[in-house]
Amino acid sequence: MAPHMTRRTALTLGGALAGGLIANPEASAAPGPARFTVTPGGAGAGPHGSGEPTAEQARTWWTPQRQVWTPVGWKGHLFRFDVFYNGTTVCQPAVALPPSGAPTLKPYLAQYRGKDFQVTPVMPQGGGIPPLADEPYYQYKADYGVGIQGWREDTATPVLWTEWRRQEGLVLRQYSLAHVPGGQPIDEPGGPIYAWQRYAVEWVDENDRPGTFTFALRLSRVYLQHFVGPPEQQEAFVTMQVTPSAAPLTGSLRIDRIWNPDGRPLTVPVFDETGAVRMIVGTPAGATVALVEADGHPGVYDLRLSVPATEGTHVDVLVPMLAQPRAGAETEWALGWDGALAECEEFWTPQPSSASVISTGEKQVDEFFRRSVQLAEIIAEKSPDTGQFTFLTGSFGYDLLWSTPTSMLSHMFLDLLGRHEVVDRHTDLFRAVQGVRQPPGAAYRNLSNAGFFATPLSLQSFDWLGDHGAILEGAARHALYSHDEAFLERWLDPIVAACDFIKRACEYTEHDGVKGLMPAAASNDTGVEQQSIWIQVWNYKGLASSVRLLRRLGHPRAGEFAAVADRLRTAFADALRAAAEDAPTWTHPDGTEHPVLPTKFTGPDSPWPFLEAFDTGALTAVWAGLLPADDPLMRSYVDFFRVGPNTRLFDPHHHTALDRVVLDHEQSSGEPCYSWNLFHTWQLGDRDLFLEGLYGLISGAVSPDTFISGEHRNAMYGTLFVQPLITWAARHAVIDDSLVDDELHLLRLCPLAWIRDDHETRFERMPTLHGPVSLRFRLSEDGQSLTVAYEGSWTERGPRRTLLHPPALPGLKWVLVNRQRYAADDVIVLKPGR
Amino acid sequence: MRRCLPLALVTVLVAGLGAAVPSSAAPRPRPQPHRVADLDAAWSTPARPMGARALAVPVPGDVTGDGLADAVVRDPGPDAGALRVYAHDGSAAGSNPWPSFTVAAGDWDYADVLQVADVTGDGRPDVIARDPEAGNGTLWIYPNAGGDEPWPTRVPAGTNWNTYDQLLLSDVTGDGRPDLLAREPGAAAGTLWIHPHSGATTGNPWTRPRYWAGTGWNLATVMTPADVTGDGHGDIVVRDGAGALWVYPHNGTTTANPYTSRYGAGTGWNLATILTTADATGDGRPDVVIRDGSGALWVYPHSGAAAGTNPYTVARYAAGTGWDASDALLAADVTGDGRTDLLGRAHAGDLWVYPTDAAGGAGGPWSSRFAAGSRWAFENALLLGDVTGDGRPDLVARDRAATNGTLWVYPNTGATTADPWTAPRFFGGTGWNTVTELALGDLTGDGRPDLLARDRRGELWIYPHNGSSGGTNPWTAGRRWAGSGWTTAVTLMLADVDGDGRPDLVDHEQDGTLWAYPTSGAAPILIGGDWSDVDVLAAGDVTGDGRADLVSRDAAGDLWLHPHDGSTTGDPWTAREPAGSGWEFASAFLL
Repeated sequence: MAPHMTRRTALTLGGALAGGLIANPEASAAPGPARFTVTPGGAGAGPHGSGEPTAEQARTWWTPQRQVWTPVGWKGHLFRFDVFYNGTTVCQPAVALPPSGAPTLKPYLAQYRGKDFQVTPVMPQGGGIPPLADEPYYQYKADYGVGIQGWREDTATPVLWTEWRRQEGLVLRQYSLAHVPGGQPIDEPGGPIYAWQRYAVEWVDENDRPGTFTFALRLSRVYLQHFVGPPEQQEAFVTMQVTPSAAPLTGSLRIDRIWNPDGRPLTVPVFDETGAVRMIVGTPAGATVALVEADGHPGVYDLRLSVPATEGTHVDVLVPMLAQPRAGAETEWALGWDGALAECEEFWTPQPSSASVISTGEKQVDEFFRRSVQLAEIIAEKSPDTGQFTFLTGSFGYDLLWSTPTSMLSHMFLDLLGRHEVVDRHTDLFRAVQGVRQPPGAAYRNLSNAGFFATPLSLQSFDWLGDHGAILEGAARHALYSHDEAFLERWLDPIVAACDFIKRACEYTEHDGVKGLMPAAASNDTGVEQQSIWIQVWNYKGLASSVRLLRRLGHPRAGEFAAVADRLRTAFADALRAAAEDAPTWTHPDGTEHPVLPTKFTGPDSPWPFLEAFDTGALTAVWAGLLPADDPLMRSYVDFFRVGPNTRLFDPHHHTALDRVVLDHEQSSGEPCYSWNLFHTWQLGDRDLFLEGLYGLISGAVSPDTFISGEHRNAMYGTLFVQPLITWAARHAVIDDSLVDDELHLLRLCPLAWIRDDHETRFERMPTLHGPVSLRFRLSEDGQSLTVAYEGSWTERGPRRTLLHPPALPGLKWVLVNRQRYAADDVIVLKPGR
Repeated sequence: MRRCLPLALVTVLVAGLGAAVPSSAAPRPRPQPHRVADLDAAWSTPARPMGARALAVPVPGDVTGDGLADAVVRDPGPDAGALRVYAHDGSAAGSNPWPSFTVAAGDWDYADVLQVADVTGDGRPDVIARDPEAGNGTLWIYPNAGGDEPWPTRVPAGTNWNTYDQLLLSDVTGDGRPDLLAREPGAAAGTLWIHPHSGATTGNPWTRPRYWAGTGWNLATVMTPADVTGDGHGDIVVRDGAGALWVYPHNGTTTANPYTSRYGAGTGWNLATILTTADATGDGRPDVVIRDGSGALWVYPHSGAAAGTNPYTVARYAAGTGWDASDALLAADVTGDGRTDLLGRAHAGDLWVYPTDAAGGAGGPWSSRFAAGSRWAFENALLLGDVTGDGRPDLVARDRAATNGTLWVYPNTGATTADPWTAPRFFGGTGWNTVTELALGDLTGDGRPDLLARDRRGELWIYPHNGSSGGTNPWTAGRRWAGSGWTTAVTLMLADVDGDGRPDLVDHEQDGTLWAYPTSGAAPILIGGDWSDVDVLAAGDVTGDGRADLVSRDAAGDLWLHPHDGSTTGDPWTAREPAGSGWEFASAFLL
């Protein structure tokens, strides 16, 4: 942005000029990380001719994401079905990718090992069904790793569809939903769960179509396996590999002999060797069905199906996660697709009274929130051992609990969307673990572990000391947003005890690291003990939020812990500045020299230095509140990732999570969920980069089709890693309670795409530190006035000040807030009580 | 032991044996154990409901016209399934070089692919055979041990070879070892793959990765390897569906597709029921050797023409008759004299009609017989049904050696005391080797017998009768799926078990159970009793009550009649009565 020119001024000067201002001066230097530039032509580009991005436009910033899989399941069930971009359905009831063979890992799933099952739709090729390969290969190399997929929009139930556009002259579509018998909330976590799938002839070319269409469902054990190997170009570190040797089932499958010369509709159960039902298939009139062992692969079966190529014709398939007794499966089958869907609708339709509503008018954005909230409870489980719920970090891969990133589901996602009961229910498990586990660092052996939060051992993949701060942050923020007295009754003492733990750790000086900070400990998946920035930011964040809570409550120890937080913040800043003094430097394109900030104050070199540098490095300090975004160290370091030397080494088409991280469309090229730069641009009010980051994440870090998130682009899907960052940014763009203490800022960074004359944008019941806030706004048809309805349901007195930032729309003259008219030429300070 | 008999003499002996058996005599023992004894039954839909059926409509299988289903029985004859070795006698071009044969013991009757090549590298030709019924196509190598019985043992060479419908052996990689050329019919209109010989002299030598050798090979109705161009590389001779012969010369590439061009070698080759290449003239070049429809063998000498020019322009010469006793011809130097010998898989077959005497005495209902010819070299598919619509049972037979399985229909002349199937046969389509079971019955309800076929994956297909009344292929309409999961069925028959006027499926399973699957969609009916020692089953109205009775043969060779008891919802064959003994010889029993 040009100095001395406000965003509003620039925009009102015209799109072309604005575009020129927004454009990345380095954009012409190819290749490198991308920066959004305004479409040439200026006026007319983007919403209101502003040149700003939209979700639809952001989808074009990258090539489609590869090897996406999306879970389909039931709230809290022990199992989920994972449906890949190509319709392959994975039933993996055990831990898909155990980080170790430790018997403590989900012991209740041990009984399910080896009972995995995969249903792979195989489309015809060259007149036949292509055989399963003999040698392993990366899945995406067979079909580019992309498919055509989405959610049905007309159902509350998450019904995933996957489409095959066949050159024979028809479109075949698979629909998938999950159902449990009875359609009720989970009682028995490991009880039967079924995937109902429908393969429907969605469309046919009336002039040139086949009489019938033949395809196969390949039935096997799960042979789509995670290949975790040395990073290679394009492989994104974790790659899905077709592993034919893993495919054979341990037992045989069979169907009853079929005699159907009249082509009647059939119900065909597929039995395993014990006589249990592995699947049921229902065919329409005129269809064929045959189960044959796959050529060259004993134990792998092809269920060959042929259906009349008539629109509306469908084959229904019922796949239990685990083979079921015949009676149970037949009872479920008797429901039929419609019956099962009806029960699902009853299950998924009700919303809690506190649930927020977001309606922006951008379908992709609105559907993202709608389905993400559901996915959060699907990628979760109720423990059959304890009866407690927990979020899981992922489905089919990360189906354990990395508490630090997963805590963001609570405090940056669900709590911000009013899903307080869900957060409460999925957080409670940590209380039982407090003070039980030992912190993963030598220095802590000299300290009491009282108050120390950790991941329950059965769910723990790797032990991070930051987990303590993350769990504390989740609890404190939940209390701050939910204003739930009952929660506080259970959690106040654990929160205080957790603060005490941080206090003891920071005051402990018998270690080699920086005094006043949390001592070294295992900090990430490397397991290496280090006094990392990552440990400091999470524990400071949790402590600071706790202090805010305790102050609100008038707790007697609030001041004590506030002093601890102050000292920690000061020690951190001092240590980082000292480290910067000795750090190597990089040269900014403007010729200035800047330090390359370290990721740790003590500790050995990391095997993953680039990932640590961005994901868990110094940029986190702004989010945590340890340093302001306008601190020179922060300004220079975020630029390091935008224009620094790594950008010259960045290959936009071929990079992995472990490569040198840069900001690509303001998104981390490593793990996008750690795009901490978004907090910098938010705090600085750098609207262009902030919106680029927001839209970048919603289109490039989650699947724009199913909204499932990857750990990094093209790899490790089945997660909700990025949902928190997007939610936090979207909410703060419209309703911001974090910028200035005790102030609310409305519409400060609201995308212009959400300000429309044909749609009333709604952010209703949005939890804030002061209580839920509802904001509705709509532009007049002539574009001269913006009507805003604003309502706060304050738990106490409400914010000290509420400011509304009129959107930078050319021609906008007035803002009507709750029928009170304000001039739109400057920030509006709403009258108290508004 | 290798027996040496002049071909003409053997032919006479086969015929003579048939004639020498008194018609009233009990069936004679089979000359050698026979591996497969399939039965096929034909059953047409009665025009009226059961109660009105009686004898108002022709009874399928009723050869004698008395309203009862007669038994039609095949005696496979001598040497069936064995290889006859016709050693080249050194005759020059123009004379039959293969006038006599010896018999090499063995039973290759099961094989739907039979090839000869020196796989083991010892300079002697080994036999390679595919068993389509085992392991989705198990390939066997019979190493040549030399001597009179050159192929006494076998070693497996992998399974799942049923993916391919053509397997050829030829050295295309230039290492002197036979590589396997395989056509995958379901891929790109026939993809040819080359499985290079690994060099292994024991075990399966075709384990190395295959490589691609072009698509569109489904045009070939015959493929045979030969070095036509004389460059030392294996070319392929192909006959297409129109009867044109093509030479696909090897282009010299030994690691990629060697067949990238072709040139013509004449037309009109559809006269051949078997076509192969062999050096009959002894000039070192492959001549084309064919068998025509009369069973005569012909040699088309290679003219010596250079690559690119049709070499088969020289006048043919005869190489004997009676070759219809063989259903496969192979060429190899078995005798080691440097000359190309011919190997023929022997098939002979006498057919007998046993008129049904419903009131037959202790000898059962089939105590007398009359001959129906000795030309039935169609080992695994004989069907009976009124294909021509004249009310008389015609005989349908599959010639496995011709064009991947040719069906022939032999119209019934109406003779009731002598061979009724002497009228000129007509064509019933090709490619029937792809199915493992055939049955005839009216499944479409038009009163004409449709073909029910089981493919190698166990799926059932209906080939509807097109309504023609003889002379042309009646099964030209598009096929229709009828079921799946039938790989474990030993025998499938069509018979109206539940009396609703539609043929139901009778299924004899490998586990010894017997089932009836009503076509109405009702639940399968388990037929009581232990059927595990039954190796022959047939269904037809033997008792004359208009219902389908069952006939079984046990391991002792005894026949049993299971009269239909009238039940329409349960097991109708709850009782049995003896129907004669000494039937172990029969390799087909039709009602």
